Formats: sequence, structure tokens, C-alpha cells
Amino acid sequence: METQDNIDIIVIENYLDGLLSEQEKEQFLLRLETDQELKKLYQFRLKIRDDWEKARQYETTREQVKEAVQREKSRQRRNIMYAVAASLALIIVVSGIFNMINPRDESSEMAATETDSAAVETYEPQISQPKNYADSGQYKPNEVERSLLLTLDIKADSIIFNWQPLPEKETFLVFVSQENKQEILRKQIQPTSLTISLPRNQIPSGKLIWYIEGFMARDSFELANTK
Amino acid sequence: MKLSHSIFSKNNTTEYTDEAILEGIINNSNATFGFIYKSYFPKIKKMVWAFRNTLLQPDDIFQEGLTRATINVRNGKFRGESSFYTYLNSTCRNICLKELSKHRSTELQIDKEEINDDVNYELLGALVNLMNRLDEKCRTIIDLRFNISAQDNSTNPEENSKSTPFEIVAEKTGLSPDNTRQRFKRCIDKLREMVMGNPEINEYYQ
Repeated sequence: METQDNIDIIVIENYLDGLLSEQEKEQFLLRLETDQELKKLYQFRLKIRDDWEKARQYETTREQVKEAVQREKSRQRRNIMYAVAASLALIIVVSGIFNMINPRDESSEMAATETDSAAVETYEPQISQPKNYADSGQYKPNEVERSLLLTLDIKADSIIFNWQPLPEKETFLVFVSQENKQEILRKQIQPTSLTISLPRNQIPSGKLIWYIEGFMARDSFELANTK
Repeated sequence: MKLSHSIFSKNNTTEYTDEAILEGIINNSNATFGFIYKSYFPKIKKMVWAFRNTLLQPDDIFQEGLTRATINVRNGKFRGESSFYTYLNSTCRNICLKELSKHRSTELQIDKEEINDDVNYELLGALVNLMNRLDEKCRTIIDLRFNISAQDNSTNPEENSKSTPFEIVAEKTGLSPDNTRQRFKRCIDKLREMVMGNPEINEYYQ
């Protein structure tokens, strides 16, 4: 069932569209002066049309502004992130370049620490090799790293083995098979000795490695079977 | 945007003249709104903070102020008697004062010289809330009947004040003209009921 308000809204809309006959229009205008409810409804209809339009424009504009502000905020946040990333990259690159330009500073410092011959640190043994150092509770890092120049001279009936410098303590001349790494001969040498001559028949034939025990230097030679 | 309206500073960032800003606002230019935010928001934020009141949120105040300034520019109510920044700042300041007066007996000292604003934005805000409570079909029918395009930024009162005949509204909605008329009546009736039941705005419609 239609209410009076609903009927009146139809009449108002028809009036606004110019669909009322002259007689209906006169009646409507007369009622508009006398009927307060109709007058209120008519005024509401006119007002709400204007306000609806303004509200629509306000809503649309508010959304546009909100979007634009959000977009600008995102852009600024993105720029900050790029700036931070670029700064970090720059720091990494600069420090890398610095290290490339100044490599000797660090290495010489380290080398000085490692090669300081005066430094003999007290050392709690944690390794079993070399056992004599571990047992003594001292570690002399340069001891086994001392360089030694090895040469040999093969004669008709003997081979002369030379080394430089002096071993400074009693040690051994050792021969190892190059094939199976097994020790095959050991000769004691004196601390004051720089050479030793061994008859060829004492040295087994084949590919051999020789060295002075306690030194890193190694040399090799091959002895043909003379029998 | 015409190049003559903007100038380029030495550090390669685009600066806008007031003329370029107004043109960008009318055309809904993202670049212009970006420039306004970047250039003016820090100053507006300082102004809002100067009130020393936690009720005032600089982001909200700025967005609301820029919305109102944009509407007034598009409706030709900003006549360029002051710079756009001064106008925006006054608009935001007035929003702050109105907001404070709602919560305490602060005497309003609105910048009347700068603002030529007869629009009741509080009413419009409340009306938008009510509009959004109507169903989508109602909003569409009312929009069509009231001859309003949501995307239309500029308003031409003479053209827009005319109501669209129900026959045309019916064509666009796919309903019959009688059905459209009935739906429109129901929608207006519901809207009136909501408006009259809302203490924020019913007095305005009495």
C-alpha cells in the first residue's frame, strides 16, 4: 500500500518533469502553499538533489586526493629505500676499493706477526705432531719452515748430496720412494756437515725423493738399474 | 600542462607556478598533486603541530584541506587572490579550528579573508556516509535521475539541475520506466528517512 508521501513524491517528480496538466499543476502549487508536509517534502527533494551532487563531487575528489597522496607517499618511501640500498652498495664498493688499494698494510702486519723470530709463545699442546715440540710445551713456528737449498751430483760410482745452510743440529738424510712414499734409506748427518757422498750401490734404483729431516725442502732424482 | 606554466629549477626538479597548479588540479594531474604534497605537506604539518593537540592528525587535515581546496578550485571559488599555498594553509587551519571547537569551547577565528567557502563540508561528509549505506542500485538510479556523473569534476548548474526523464533512466538501468519510477521513490524515501534520523544533519533539512 502506497503512503501519502510516496504519492506526493510521484506528483513532485511529474511536476519537475513537466508532466502535469495545467489543472494538476495549479492544484499542486495550491497544495504546496497550504500543505506543510508536501512543502517539506518538495524542499527536501530540491535540497537533496543539490547536496547529493555536492556530496558526490566531495566523495570523488576526496578519493582522488587520497590516491594522489598515497601515490606520492609510496614514491617517497621507494626513494628512501633506493637511497639506503645505494648507500650500502657505495659503502661496500668503497671499502672494497680501499682494500684493493692498500693490500700490503694488512698482509705486512700479519706477516710481521707470523715471522717474528723473537716470538716464542708458551703453547698448551693440542696436537700430537710434532711430538717433541708438544711435549716440551713450546712451539717454534719457524723451526720446520726454514728453507734449505738441495743439490746433488751423480758420479760414476757415487752420488754426492749437498745442502745449504748448515742444519745446526744432528739430523738425517732421508730417501723416500716416489711411487709409494715409503722411506727406503736413512743416513745420519752431522750439524757441521754440508755434504755427504754415498756409493751408488747403497742407493736403490728407481724414482727417489730425498730431504734433510727437519726441513721442508724436497728434491728428487731417478737412478737407473745398473745391474 | 603547458611548459610555460612551470619553471625548472637548477637541480632539475620541476617547480610549479600557481597557474600550473590550478590547471593541474582541474585536470586531476597526478604530478601536480604529487608536487603539492611534496612541497606543502611539511609546512601544513608544522602548522597543525603548532596547535599541540593530539586530536589533530596532520595527514587527515592535509587531505581534507586539499580536498576542499580542490573542489573550490574546480568550482571557480578560488579566484587566485592569494597564492595557492596560502589558500590551502588557511583551509587546513580552519579545519583545525572547527575540529577543536567541537571538543572544547575554542572561539573560532576563521581566516575569512582567504576563504570564500559557503559549502558545509561536515554536512557533505555525513551525507556521503548515508549515501554509502544505500544499495548500489539506489545510488545508480538517483545519480541518473539527478543527472550526475561521478567522474564529472566540473559542474554546470544549468545542465545538471534538470532531472533525467525516467524513460532514459530506465534504458540505462534495464528496468521498465514504471519500475524505475517506483525504485526511485523507494530510494528517496529511504534516503529521507536516514537523513531525518541523523542528528548531525536533520536540522538542516527541517
